[in-house]
Formats: sequence, C-alpha cells, structure tokens
Amino acid sequence: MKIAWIAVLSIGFAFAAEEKIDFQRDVRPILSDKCFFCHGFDSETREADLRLDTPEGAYENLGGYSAVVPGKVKDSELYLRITSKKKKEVMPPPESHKTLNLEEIETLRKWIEQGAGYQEHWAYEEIKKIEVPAGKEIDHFVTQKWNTAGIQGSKLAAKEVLLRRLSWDLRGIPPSAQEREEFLKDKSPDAWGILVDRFLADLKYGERMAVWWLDLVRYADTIGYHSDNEMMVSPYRDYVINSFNKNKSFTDFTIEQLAGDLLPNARLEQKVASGYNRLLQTTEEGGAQDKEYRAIYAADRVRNVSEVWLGSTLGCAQCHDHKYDPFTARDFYSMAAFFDDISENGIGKRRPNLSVPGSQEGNRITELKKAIDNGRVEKLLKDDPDFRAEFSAGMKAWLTGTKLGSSVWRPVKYSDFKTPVGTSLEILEDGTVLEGGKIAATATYSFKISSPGKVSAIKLEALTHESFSVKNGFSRGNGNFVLTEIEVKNKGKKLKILSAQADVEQSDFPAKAAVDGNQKTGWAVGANVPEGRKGTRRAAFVLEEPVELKENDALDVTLHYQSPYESHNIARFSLSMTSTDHADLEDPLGPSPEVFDAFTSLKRTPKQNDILRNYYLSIAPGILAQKAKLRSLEEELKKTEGEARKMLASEALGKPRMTRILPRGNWMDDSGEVVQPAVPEFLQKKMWNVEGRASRLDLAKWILHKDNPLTARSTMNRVWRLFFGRGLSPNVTDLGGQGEMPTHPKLLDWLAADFRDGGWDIKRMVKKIVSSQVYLQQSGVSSFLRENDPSNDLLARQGRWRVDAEFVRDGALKISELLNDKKLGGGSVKPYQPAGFWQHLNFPRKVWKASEGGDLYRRSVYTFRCRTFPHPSMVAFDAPSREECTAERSRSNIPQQALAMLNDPIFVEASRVFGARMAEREGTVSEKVAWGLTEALSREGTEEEVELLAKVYQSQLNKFQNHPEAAAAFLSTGKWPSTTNVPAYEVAAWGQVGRAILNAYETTSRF
Amino acid sequence: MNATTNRRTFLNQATVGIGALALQRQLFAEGIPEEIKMAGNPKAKRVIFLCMAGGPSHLETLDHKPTLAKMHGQPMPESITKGQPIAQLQGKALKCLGPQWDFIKQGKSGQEISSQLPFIGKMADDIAIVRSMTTKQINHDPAHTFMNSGTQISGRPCMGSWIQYGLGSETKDLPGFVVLTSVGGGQSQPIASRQWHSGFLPSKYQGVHFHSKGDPVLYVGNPKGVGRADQRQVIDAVNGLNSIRNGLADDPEITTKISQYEMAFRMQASVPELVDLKGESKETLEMYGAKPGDGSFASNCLLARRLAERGVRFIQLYHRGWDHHGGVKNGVAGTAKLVDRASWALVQDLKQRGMLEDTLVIWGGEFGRTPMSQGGGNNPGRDHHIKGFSLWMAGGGIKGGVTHGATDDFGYNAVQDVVTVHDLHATMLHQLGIDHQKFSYKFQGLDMRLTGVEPGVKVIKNILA
Repeated sequence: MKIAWIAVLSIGFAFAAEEKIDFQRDVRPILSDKCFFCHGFDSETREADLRLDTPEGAYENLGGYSAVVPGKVKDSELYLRITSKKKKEVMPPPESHKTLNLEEIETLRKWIEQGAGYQEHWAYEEIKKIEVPAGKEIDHFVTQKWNTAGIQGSKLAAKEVLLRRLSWDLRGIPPSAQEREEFLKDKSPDAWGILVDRFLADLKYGERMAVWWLDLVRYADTIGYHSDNEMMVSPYRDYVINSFNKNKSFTDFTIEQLAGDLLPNARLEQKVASGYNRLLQTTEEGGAQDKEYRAIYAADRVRNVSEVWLGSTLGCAQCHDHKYDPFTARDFYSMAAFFDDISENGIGKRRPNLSVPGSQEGNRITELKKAIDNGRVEKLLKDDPDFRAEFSAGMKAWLTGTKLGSSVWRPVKYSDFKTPVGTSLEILEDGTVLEGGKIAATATYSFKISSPGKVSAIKLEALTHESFSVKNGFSRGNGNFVLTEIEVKNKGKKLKILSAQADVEQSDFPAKAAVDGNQKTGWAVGANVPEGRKGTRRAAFVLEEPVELKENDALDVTLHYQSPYESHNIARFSLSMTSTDHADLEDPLGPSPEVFDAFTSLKRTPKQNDILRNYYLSIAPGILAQKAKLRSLEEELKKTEGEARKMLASEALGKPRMTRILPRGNWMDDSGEVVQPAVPEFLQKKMWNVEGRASRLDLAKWILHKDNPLTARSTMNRVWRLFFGRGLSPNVTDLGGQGEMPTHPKLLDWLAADFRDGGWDIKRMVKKIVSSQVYLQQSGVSSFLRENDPSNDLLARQGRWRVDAEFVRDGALKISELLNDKKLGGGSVKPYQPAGFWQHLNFPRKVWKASEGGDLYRRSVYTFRCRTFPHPSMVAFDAPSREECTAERSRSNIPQQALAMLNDPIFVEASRVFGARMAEREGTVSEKVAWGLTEALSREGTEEEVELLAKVYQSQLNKFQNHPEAAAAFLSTGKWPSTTNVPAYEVAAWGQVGRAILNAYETTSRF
Repeated sequence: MNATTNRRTFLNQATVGIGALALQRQLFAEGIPEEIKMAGNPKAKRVIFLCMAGGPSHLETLDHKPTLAKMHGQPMPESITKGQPIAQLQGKALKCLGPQWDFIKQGKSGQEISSQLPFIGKMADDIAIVRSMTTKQINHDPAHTFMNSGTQISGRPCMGSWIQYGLGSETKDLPGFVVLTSVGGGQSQPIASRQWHSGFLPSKYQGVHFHSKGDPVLYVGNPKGVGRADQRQVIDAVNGLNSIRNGLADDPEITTKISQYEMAFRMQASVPELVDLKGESKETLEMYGAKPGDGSFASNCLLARRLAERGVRFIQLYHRGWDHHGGVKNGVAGTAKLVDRASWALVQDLKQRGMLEDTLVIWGGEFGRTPMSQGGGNNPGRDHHIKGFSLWMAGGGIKGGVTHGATDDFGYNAVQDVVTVHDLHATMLHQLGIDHQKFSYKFQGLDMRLTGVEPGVKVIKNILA
C-alpha cells in the first residue's frame, strides 16, 4: 500500500526517478509483513534457521550461499526465491497466502543493489531532536515536505470555522453564538492565542481529554465478565479530568496511576490515581477458577500498560515470542510480575478499599475529626482548667453526699407470677423475689413488671439467700444458674434485645446467650463465688427500640431455665428498668461492690480513691454531657464518611504473588520458570538498573526515562491525532514492526523530545500544535489533493470527521442549553436508556434506573459505562465497550446513528427544547430559523437552508394545529418541563425544525 | 462508477481505517471476493445459528453412552479427570452419572437421539450430528466469546461480523447480522452484547439485537406525536441540509450519511413488517408452536425464517436455560420442550420453501456437561464440560443422517475425529465459499483470522454433501 501511494505521489510531484531506498520506510514493512512470520524474532517458528530481522542473519553464510549479499542481487538467495516461478522454491510459500507484488520485489532488488543496509526499527531508535527555528517548528517540518513535493498547503480556514474546530478539539462541545460574536469582533493579532488559552483554561478541557485517556486505560463502571456487576471507580475518572485541567505533568500522571499507592505518604489523590491498576475486567462467575483468572488478569494488565504507555503490543508475546518485534514471552511475564503485588480476589466481588470524600465532605471530615480529638474527656481534663475544676467540684460534692449515686435504674412492681405447679415466687420486704416450694428440674417463670416511663433497658440481678443450701449461691441447685432465655413482651409483642452484658460470665455462657433465641445456650456465672461481690450477679438487657409505659401498662417477662443442669434457676432475683438511652448507659450494672466499699470506707486507700474517681467519671453529669456531644460528632463523622464515594484502589501485598512463564500461555502448565518484575530486555539498555525486586514505581520511572524511545513518541503521536484525525504514524495503537512509519518522522521526534525536555507538559504541547499554521488550514479536499495525497500524508489540509459519541450528545445538549455543566466529577449518571436493554444481564438481575433532575443532562463522560451493555446510543456512534485499550475509535457511518439521533428521547428532548428557544424569539419565521442555525452551526445559515427549514416549520405547524394531542405527546418527550407561553403546536413545530438541525451532519462534524 | 473513482474511494476509505475488503464489497457487490474465495462453488448463502446457551448436556441430547449407565454411581476413573480443567466440581468427589433419558434410533439413518427431542428425532435424516466437539473455555461468558469469535479475548469480531465483512449484505432494508434472544426457559445466564460485536472490524458489521419488548430494534420507533409522514419530512430536511452542505464540502461521509438516513427510514418500516406475524398462516404458527409477540424461541425461529427470506446473512438465536448444574433430568426435558419443535419446524419450513439448501443451520451450545454428577441426591445435575460435547447441523450443503466423531465410553473426552471451535468456523466459512486461511484482517499488525493463527484447523469434510 505504502509503496503504491509513493508511486502515485512520485507521478504527481515528480519525485526523482532514481530514488534512494530507505530501509525504514520501504524495506522493513515488506520484510515484516511477508517474511518475519517465519524468519523473524520468534525462534520457535523460525524456518530453515534463517532470520531476516538482523543483518547478521540475512548475510550469514548458509553453506556456500547467503540470503542477502549486499550489492549483489543475483547472488542473493532471497531475491532468487522471491522471483522463482517454481512452487517449491518461491517465497513466501503459497500456503502462507502471502505474496509479493512487482513493486515490492523491485524495492527489495534495489535495496540489495544499494548495499542491503539495515537500521533498527525507527520506534526503538533514540529520539533525535533537530534544532529548527523556534516557535515555528511544526510548520517548519511540514512545509519542508511540501517544498520537496512541490506543493503548498491549504488556505487558512475562516475564523468561525477555526473557532468551532478549536472548541470541539479542546472542549468537546461547539462554541456558543456569543463566543462566536466575541471572537469575530476580536481583531487583535493575538486573538487566536487568547482563545486557545481561554479554552485550555475551561474546565471542559479536562472532560474532553479524559474521554481520550479513559479509552486507553479501558475505564468502565462494571467488571466486564459474566454478571458484569458494578465496580466503584468513578473517583479515578475525576482524577483524570482534574489532572488534565490542572495540567499535571505527564510524569506525575504516569507515576500516580501505576504506583500512587507506593509513594511515601501517598496523598488521597495519588491513591485514587492508583485505581488504574484495578480497571481491568474481572469475574464473579461461579465455577471460574482462580488460577485461570489470575493468568487472564495478568495478561490484561500487560496488554494495557504496554499499549497505553509504550504504544506496543507486548500482549502478543503471551504464548510465544513476538513475531514482529523483539519482545519475548519472558518479557511478557516479567512485565506481568510488576503487578503481582496488587491485593485483589481472583474470583468474586470487588469491594471498595478507599473512601474518597468530595472537597466539602473532606473539609467536614477534617473538622469533625479535630473536634472529636479535642473533645475527648481525658484531653479536656488534662488541658481545660475550667472543665477540670467543674469535675473536681462535682466529685467533691458527690463524695460528701450520703448517697452513692442517683442510679439510673428504677425499681419495678411485680404481678401475675406464673410458675410450674408446686413452685412459688414471693416478693420479699426488700422488693426482691424469692423462689420457694417444690423446685422442678427445669422451669419457666413469667410475670408482669410495671414502672411508668420510658424503658430502654432492663436489669436482672441474681442474689443469694440464707435459705440456699450452697452458701453464697444463687440457685437451689449447686448454686450456679443457667438462664437459657429471657423474653420481654409489650402488649403481646416481643421486644428485640440489642445487647446483653453481665458483670460475671462463665466461659461459654455469656449473657448474650440468654437472648439468642436458643434454649440450648444461656447465661451462667459459675458455682464458685469470687471475693467481694456481696452476693449479687447482674445482667443488663438493652432494647433495640425503647418503649414508653403508661400508668397501667406492664411488660411481660419470661425467664427460661431449660438447661440440662438440674434446678439451675435464679432463686432470688430483682428487676429494674432505666430510661437512659443505651448509648449513655455508662454504668449499666450500677456501682460494683468495690465502689460501694470504697465509698463507705472511712479511711480510703489510694487504690480506693482511684476506684471512686473512675466510677464518678462514669456518672458525672458534665462528663456524660460531653460524651453525648462526642457521640453525635462521631455519628456525623461516620455518616459523612459513609456518604463519601468509595473506590477500588491499589493496595500492595506484603508478599507479592509469584509469576511463572506459562508455556504457550497455558495457565495449567506449571513447568515454566519463575520470573521477577523486569521491563523488556531489548529496551533495558542503560535505563534499567534496579537492585532487588523491582516495583511498579520502577516500571513508571523506566517508562518516563529520558532515553525510553517509546513513551514520548507514542503519546505525542496520539495527541497529534486528536487535532488532525490521524497520527503522524497512522497506526496509533502500535509503533512496532507492524505499525506504520511516520509520515513526518523528524516532526514526531521533535514533538516527543520537546514534550520530554519541556517538563512532559501536555497543555504546552497542545498549544504548540493548535497554534501552528498547519492546524489552521482548511479541511476541504481539493481535487488535486484528493488525487495525489488522498490519505493526507503531506498534511496539506486539516482533517474532518464526525465527533466522538460523547460529544455528539454533549453538543446537542449544549445547543439546546440543556447541558448541566455546573458540576465537575461525581458518581456516574444514567441518562435515558430503552427499557429492558439490560434484560440479558443476570446475577443479580439489573434494571437501569434513569437518573433524576440535572443528572440527566450531564456530559457523557459521566454516563455509567456498562461493559457488556454499553449505552446503545453511544455504541451507535462508536463508543468502545472499554474492555480493552482503544487508541483509535472507528468512525463509522451507520443507520443506527440516524435512528438514535432521530428517535432517542434525549435527542428528541434536546430538539424540542432547542425548538422552544427558537419559538420564543421575536421575529419572523425566517429570522428564527436563521437564529437557530447560527446557534447550532456557529455560522449564518444560507437562504436556501433557511427556506428549507421554514417550509418544514409551516407544514409541521399545520399538522400540530390539527392534532393538538400529537403536539402534547411530542412535547412530553423527556423530563425537562415545557414552560413557554408560546402555543404548544408552535413549540412542537419548532421542535421538528430543531430535529432537522441537530440531525444535520454538519452539527456533529468537526472540520 | 469508473475505475478511478473506485480507486479513490478505496484510498479515501483506507485512510479512515476501513480495510481492503470494504472496497471489494463495493467492487463486487455480488459474489465472493477472489482474495478469500475457496475452490468450487459455495453451498450456503446464510447461516442460522441456534445457540443453546448454558451448555446442553450432550449425554441427555445427542451422545448416547450406554457404558456410562453401567458406571452410574461409580467413581470416575482418575486417569481421565486428573489435571483437567473443571468448574464448580473443583475439589469435589467425582462420580459417574448415567444418562437420565433413553435414546431412540431415528429415521433411515438410525441416528441416536434423545427421547426428549422427538421432533429433532423426526428429522434425523436431515441433520449431521457432531459428537466430538471441544472448546477451550469452561465458563459461560468466555466460552460464548470463544464460540463466537474464536478467542477468549474481548474486542475481537464474532463470526456474524466476519461473514458480513466477507460476503456483504443481501438486504437494503435490514441489517445483515441479526441476533434474537428468547424469553422464558428458566435458568438465565447473562449474555453480553460483545457476543455480537464487530470488534476491530468496522462497526457496520456489528450484529443488531432484536428485542421482543418495546422497539424490536432500538430507536426504530418514531418519537411520540410524530407520524411516518412527519418523520419523512424531517429526514428530507436533514438530507436537504446535508446535500446543501455537501455542495460545498464534497465529503463522501456526507453522501454516506444521506444514504444511511434513507436506510434508517426504510428500517422503520421493514422492521415492524418483519416482526408482524399476521401474514403467517395458522398452520405455520402451529408448526412452530409460536404465539405472535410472545418472544419465545418458537416465535424467534419463525422470525429467523422471515429474516432469512429477506436476505439477512447471519441470524443468531439465543435460548438460555441449559445450565443444569442440578436436576439435569427434568431440566433437559423442560428446556427441550421449549426448543425441540421449533427447531424442527424451522428446518422443515426452510426445506419446503427450497431455502434449506443454501441456509446452514447450526444447533448447539458453548460447551457440554460432565459425565460426573453434580449435587448427588435425588436431583443430580452436571457441571460444565469442554473436552467433548455435541451439536448438529443441517442444510447449506451438509449431509443428513450422519454422525461424526465420538467421545470415549464415558462421554468425557472427544476421541475420534475431534472437532475444535476453529474447525467448526472453518467448516461454516467453507460452506459459504470462503477459504478460512485466506480470510484475514490486519489488526495490531497481525493478520487476524476467525480461525486463529495456529495451524491444523480443518474443515469437517465427512459431513459435507
């Protein structure tokens, strides 16, 4: 192909007849495409032990003859074979289905004749910066080529065309009519520079550039495989937008994505950036095998990192050495090993591991944390003299008082005792209840208790009695008891118990076992009594929801003793209630006997003083108030943190997983060698010098090494494509052997070097590109250029294309003024989508619920990206599924685009809202149409266009006048309210005019 | 179109990434491009792929294993299963589960077919059964991707796109590659839209998914309050604006745009006409067991015939409901009831209309199921299985009444005349007149093929008429 074009050009531009063969441009592509598959890098598939990718291989003596003998065509076996007429001899062999055409054979002939020189593949050579007149470098390189070809570039495009072009290119939306007016008015010599700066400073620039980057890194909101469930990564998307807007250097941008989590004292933003490593496709499918998916994930990452940063298809070396580039299978697995430290499941849910508060949330969180920290009681007692004084005074008064404390527990009245036959329950003078009569092996006691007021918890005390056979025991059995269950009912409804705690619990018999609904477990305290307990055991049961008891209300309490241990019933007990909320129940069990002793002691030991101080801390009103305040702050903190977005970020394992070379990519084959992280061997050169295990950070630094030939070249090649529609090397995916030689190698090298040496500054490079004369050319294709340079190898005109899917929709929203651009970033949003579009997703079933309000009209970069079912309108316009790296979207022109723009509710809604704007204007029909055309197209409409649309208006007006119901139906499309005072039939008719304008090709094209 | 404009169009398109064959499509609107043509005459013009999604058990449908019945309840010999990929049975005891249904010798050919597929059994002499299929992917999603695109890597074109790319479309009113998914049928594994994606091929070769609810094709219905005449008027206005613009810009993209709006307008009529089964006789509806508008597999089979009649090149029907990890006996019976009759009806209907000879029908899933029991108990099931499974083909130059290949006594490994997914693709392309080895597209510097880059892919000659 390349040769054919050059042949065409050589006629058109009278190239010198005897041209010098350029190995890079002319020969390598032929060898690579037709010969390297069997005579190249991959030793496994190499035939006849001949390799043509190196001069040594080509010139090697093969036993009296050589494939290539420089300068001697007739002695070169290669030439004899490619020109042979014999089926058995001819190369490439017929079964390869590869053939050389006459031009290619002639090129090889000339190459041998001229000395058969080799050069390293251009993309792997060092980047050479040629110094040229400053400020006009791009134009210099391009015009140099024009001069050689004897042509001139295209004329300068009209100002309004340039404005629109720049607006699409830098912001992804068309300019407003007002911007047009201002720019047309600005006659200053630096008007363009000012406009470029303004658009670069517009926050929409970041949203536009993010669409490009997110395609590369395959950003999406779902995991991709099988159930394709949601994964939380949207803060990463915002990181990308913000980075472009802040013009973060490409070095930081790269390091933070690959290894932000590994940076010392990593900032939140850097951790967010490391979400890059989690963007791959993953699975939750039952029956999927961990080991297999680990291998799939490793390959996914290698493909992506090499395509994104190196413009290389290292992924092709998964099963064998690369056929066309010097990448080996070992290189592939060594690259994979860099990512072995990332903590993640092989199979299963992707649980967010990073909380990312927004800036307001973040500030509040900082405030709250500070307030909580400063409000801690211990800290106040230490640092706040007033607080301390109040506490001391309170304690002094308490100690001199007569009562131990105003217990929060209030006594209850008992009634309606129900017991097994023969057993009695009797209320003693002190208000406690004593079991008597015949004691059954197991028993259930129930009764009512009353005490008006709020009840948030109930306390049960077990006491001893002199009548018990075991001294200081609590039961008439062996002294121990097992309360297998306590139930509390209010008006027949069982109250849920939130928690239970006791002062003493026998191991395996905690208090909470008395509220677990299981009669086989229970609360017990052990038969032996520890010292100083005054013969009581206490358990408090906190209700989930407090209840309010009126004067005559009572709670039903049932105590179950159903354990296999005989007569393990609490034989003397007492119940009490509290209204204090459980959170405030600092002392649910009341003062312990130690406190009691200390309080009543006449001469207190220092230990007793401590005990009293500690106890008072738990009941002092000032302290309790402070603690309540802290609790509400903590709750707010928890809530604020909970509302913050969560995401998947990189987290390094202490011990990385191990990577083996998988022979032929087979994950079940464990025979391969274990490899350590390393960059491809042939690119290590002097750039790779890592001691110990290399990390992702080392990888990032190597990617950004000034001598790395690929990173800057590939990035600049892709940036160039954003502004011309085609890379300088047209294959923006792959700069390797099967890629394409740049049309302007020196320009690409200059851009790469300048990018690298100028601080890896993207905005700086963008400005240089859009400020060049080359950028400002017209995009129309003259018949001369169409004939002689159809693919625009000479850059003698600008490119023209339909804008990306996101910008098709954004443009329609902008023109209709529906676009909600008040907010930057945030969780992904869901515009309208046909009902049932997700019906074939499962585990769980999913329903797309459209967002509400302004979220329906946000820029498309925020649209929820489902990998298995991306939004159909976006797909129609070639938005990729983001399963793999996409460096170049296809630009198709298919009927689904027409159907979407004509009938997708968002475009109909935008049309009717745009129509309403036309309807509301003063003036004649033609004036309104003309105004609408300028709004949408940034130019004045022609008479012909105005007339055509005015006719549509008149005809549709008649229709809607005769069919008011149709007008109402049409205007009800979409959620945006129709608020105008203009009659509905007029607005609807204008809406149809709006549809015609929004559907026009020019509206969505950049030229 | 003279030679110069062709060349020019070619070069122009080449610059925007459309491959050489796209040009060929314009040069040879009829017939198969020489570059990819195989020797001899093509047998099939179109393909209908009845995808039995979920992985039907070959042991209860098309692969009769009396020995396995004798082994019922016995441990599966470790020599067979050791080191083999396995899905949900990982780490479980592996015991044989005998066939849950009888097989019947059907037709003159005496092909053995499950008693649960009586209608398919009736046409045993029309179909070729392949009992030695293998695949490489053991989980649904990647296995479908593999079956459709020949690789498990996402973003590669699937067979419908390849075929459209190679042969072009025979219809001006409908897309050339249509996918239908039936409703009902129990267990529903997700199906991703990547299964009909054009991958690195131009988007126009993408499959169009027809829906049984709402618009059959997305956005094919007019906006509310807009009639067909109104829509025509808007499209005329759009095309008018585009023509005016093209007078200045002279841009082939605009010319294409104009024709695509016309195509869209035609689709707005042809799609509703297509899915409207009013014109079908009562006998036909009964033959399929279809109730118009129910979205069933039966209705979709009838739609498949209508699509085939209208020149659609590749028609793919998904019926989900074959993933019988538990209760494989009743599961197979239930799902078979939903597909058996309509599958038969489609083949017979094509036959009676003289279309079977140039329509290749393929019936099968993404993999088979284990001879080992999953779940045990009263209601055992079978796990995913990739080392041997079955499918059948009919029409399009396929010989009827033939059984090709075999699995071992357990129905575990395909042991005789093993057929890979790439072989299946090669056979399909062969019937369409395409030499699979010549049929490639340059992507990432490589000559990509539907049948992959590895050698050894072969056409299943034994089943060709």
